[in-house]
Amino acid sequence: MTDTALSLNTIQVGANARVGDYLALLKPRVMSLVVFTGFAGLFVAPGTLHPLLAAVAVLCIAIGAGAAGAINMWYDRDIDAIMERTRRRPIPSGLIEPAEALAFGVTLSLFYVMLMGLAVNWTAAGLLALANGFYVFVYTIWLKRRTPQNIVIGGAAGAFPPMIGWAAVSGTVELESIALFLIIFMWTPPHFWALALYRAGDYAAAGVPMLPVVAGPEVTRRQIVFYSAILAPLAMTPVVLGFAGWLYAVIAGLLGLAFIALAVQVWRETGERAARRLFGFSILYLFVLFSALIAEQALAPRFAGLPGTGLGLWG
Amino acid sequence: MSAMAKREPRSEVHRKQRMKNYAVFAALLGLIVLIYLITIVRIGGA
Repeated sequence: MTDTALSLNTIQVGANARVGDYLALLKPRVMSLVVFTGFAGLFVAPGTLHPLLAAVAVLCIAIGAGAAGAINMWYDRDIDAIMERTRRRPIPSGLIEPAEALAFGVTLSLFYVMLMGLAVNWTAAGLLALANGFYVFVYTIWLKRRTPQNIVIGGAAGAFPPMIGWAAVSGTVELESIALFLIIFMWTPPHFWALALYRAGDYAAAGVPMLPVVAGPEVTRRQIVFYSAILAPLAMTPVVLGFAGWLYAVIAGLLGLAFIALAVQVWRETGERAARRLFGFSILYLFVLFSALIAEQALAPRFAGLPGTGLGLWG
Repeated sequence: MSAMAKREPRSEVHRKQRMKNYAVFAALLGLIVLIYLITIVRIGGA
């Protein structure tokens, strides 16, 4: 055997994978909302944090969440290969070996939890570990293939980032950070069920018991309206708790009304169009809601009667 | 074969492997710098 043939044999595993395929394992699109809400929690929390440590906290939230995504792709590789939306992911495409993806995810997860603990604080690190563990063990392994309530309970994993960001500054879990957690927690079901309404065939083929597959579209539409009706007033809790002011109240109010209106449209229309519209809007909703929280804190923290800005008052 | 020619990737697989090696190198270097900066900041009392 020639030297070239030998060296080719030793690099067969994952040989066709590019750097971008490893980045794809981290689910960058999901990561962007996680990073943003995590940053919002960090920015509005009372207290001070050195800008470098704040950047490290956001990095740890981002990579930590991405690592959990890689472990999720390892576990779900069988159903990912069936579903149209996921069949081009690196593992079902044969670009990355499953074991390699698992090692990649576990290593990154452990490393960035440790980094969060050593560089920022152990409350934030503990919450990051809890979020990762919840996503992998509770959502992915336990609930996803067993119950249509998978994304209701499992949605908690995606709701942790603002709480982690808050804890990075304050070092504690407070009522305010729980309020931010609850907003994302209640946002998750209508967001995913809107997607599941027009991807029901995909989920059914893969045997994932999403609500439209198990209970049918009618029940799902009613549940979407129900959760949207809870979400809209719940989004006002930052105002009630005093860490957001009138600007946020107005924006949250308008967004909440629009969310309910689109949910009602999903309920009344049987086609896919309304569900697609609600899914798209739900992403915008979360982005604008947390942008309002950040903008208000950045522009007029005193006016809003806020206790302090995590980054702005550093020094 | 000259030393320069040996460094050229021999195939697409080698080229991808080389890019991954560079990425790992950059990530490790970035982490070293980051941990150094964190240490300086923490020593400073932040």
